[in-house]
Amino acid sequence: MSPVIAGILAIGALLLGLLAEHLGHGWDQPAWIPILDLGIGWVLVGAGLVGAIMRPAQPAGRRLVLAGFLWFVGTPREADSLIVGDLAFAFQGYFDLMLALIVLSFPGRWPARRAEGSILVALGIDYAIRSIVRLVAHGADFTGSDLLDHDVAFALVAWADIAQALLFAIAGSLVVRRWLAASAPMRRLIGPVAAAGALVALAEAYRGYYPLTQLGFAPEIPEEAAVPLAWVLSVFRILVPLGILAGILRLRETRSAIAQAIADVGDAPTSMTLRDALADALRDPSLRILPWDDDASGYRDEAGRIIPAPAATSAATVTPVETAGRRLAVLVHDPALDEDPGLVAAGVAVTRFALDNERLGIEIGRQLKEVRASRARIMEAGDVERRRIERDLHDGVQQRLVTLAMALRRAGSRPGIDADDALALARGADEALVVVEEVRELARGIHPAILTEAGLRPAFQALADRSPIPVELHVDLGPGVGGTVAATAYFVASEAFANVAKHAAATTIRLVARADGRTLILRIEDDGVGGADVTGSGLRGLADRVAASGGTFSLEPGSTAGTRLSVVLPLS
Amino acid sequence: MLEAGGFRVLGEAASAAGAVGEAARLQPAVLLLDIGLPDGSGLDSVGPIRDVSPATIVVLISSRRASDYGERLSDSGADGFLDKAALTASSLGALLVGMTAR
Repeated sequence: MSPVIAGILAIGALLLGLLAEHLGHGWDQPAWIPILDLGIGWVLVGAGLVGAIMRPAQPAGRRLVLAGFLWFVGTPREADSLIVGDLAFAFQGYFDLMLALIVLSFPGRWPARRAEGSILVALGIDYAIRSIVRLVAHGADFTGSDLLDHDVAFALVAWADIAQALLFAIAGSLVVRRWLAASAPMRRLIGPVAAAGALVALAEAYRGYYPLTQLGFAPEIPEEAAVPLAWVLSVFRILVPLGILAGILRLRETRSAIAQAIADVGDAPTSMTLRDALADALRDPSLRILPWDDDASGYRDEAGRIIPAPAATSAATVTPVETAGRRLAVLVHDPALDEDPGLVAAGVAVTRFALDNERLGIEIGRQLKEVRASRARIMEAGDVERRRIERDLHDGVQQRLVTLAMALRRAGSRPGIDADDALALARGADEALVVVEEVRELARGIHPAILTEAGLRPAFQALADRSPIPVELHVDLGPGVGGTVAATAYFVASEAFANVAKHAAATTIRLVARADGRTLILRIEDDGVGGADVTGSGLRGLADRVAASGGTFSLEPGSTAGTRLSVVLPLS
Repeated sequence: MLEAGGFRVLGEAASAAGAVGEAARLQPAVLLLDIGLPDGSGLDSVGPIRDVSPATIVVLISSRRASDYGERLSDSGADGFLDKAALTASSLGALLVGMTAR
């Protein structure tokens, strides 16, 4: 309900109340009469407007407003104007019918049980009969109509009143019974409304007592008791809309508790934390969330056992939670939760988000692990392949070239050979050796033989010996540093030394390599100008290589000057 | 080829174990030891050969370069290294001359 409409209705109720009071009683009477008359109507409308604004989906608020207007309809029954008075007289009391509808339906739109619906229908018929009788009898004293005998009309209305009181008593007992039968969360929800309903039933019972005295079935209430009783019932009437409003607002509270549950499970929702948060929000300690297990084709219970889908019972409703047609879980909960439209739907939505999130998290984690493993495997396979190519070059082409060179040389040094021939053969041998050198260079670029022939420590030493900038080596490697890890460390050092020589204008390089059986830590520092950047240098590819090995790679300013490159590699 | 250059070849072996045995039997003045042997690395055979034939000059040979072995060459205890591609009677002679000059 928009605030504008609410404002118009509020002003309308104010004016209608004043008008009805003015027409009905005038202002020349004890003050408490108009105060109660207006107070009850305005509280009905006011409470209804608050409810309608705060909880737009809940019809009880709008119905309370309507009940307030209906209340004022009955006020001018003693108006001077015969038409106004007759109409008011004929249609007084309908607000209680509206209140009965609210109480019996709450928190739904219409009554959930047939008995409650039947009572409402019976009440409606009863109200209609009385209104018709009064309209036909035409007048408060039942003398203005030829169609209906005065006594008959009087008796009909009296019996209608008695029937009404009885029906309200039954309705009240239904409400109380519903409350008694309800589970804790439902009791909390309907409690204030049920209490209001009981008050309405009490007030109506008193109204039903009056015709009994008129028909001579019951003793009249003495004057000194009647006024305080009227007071008490009027106070009841003021409490009724407040009770209903409290129920409406409590409904809102439950819904927002679901929002709170979402916030609570926020960071890392798992089915267990979710269950606790949701059970708390729905105030249903019996709530269970049974996640669906695709592999086992069953639901997983709290102990992790696989169980078939639980059956719904009178004590537990089973609500499926699905996403895009895919089973996620079932919620097993108190059937009372079904009575609040949207409550279970909200719970299901929360569960869906949380479980879907959990499922996706696991899925992504699994895929990530797989991708990491395959990346490492691909890199390792590449390394193995390069080692193999290097070895093939060495054992094959290179050996044959060496043999060829030797053969040529042997031929050239045979005694008595022509000098020109000897020279040509020696040239051939030298040429073969040049090719050997080229093949060696090529092979070293594919894979450094020193890593396989000597190991990482000598390989570092060899790099240090070749570096134009003096290198200080602090290498302490245990066993188990080889293969891909050694190759990665070697390539990192090689690239780092080359970068320092090219860009850093450094005077020394310090390499620290330490392995403790689980990780290899490699730190390369220079005392140059610093400002090295991973992007755009050969280090980028090496950073990827390190990441593929499951290691870390960081480039930062050195402790005093220059650049420090730190690499940590896990030893598998 | 070495014979032509004035060396006398006493024996040959095709494995690391064979080399140690031949060295013990023949007590050669010079032993050319290939690093790439079928039953192990020549680098690891220098010590055993020294044990059985202490006076022998052990020269490691390989079709790889010395730089491919780094400090392992000096750690092996061998007296010298020759690249197979450069192995001639004269290069061996030059190496031995340099060694005795020291």
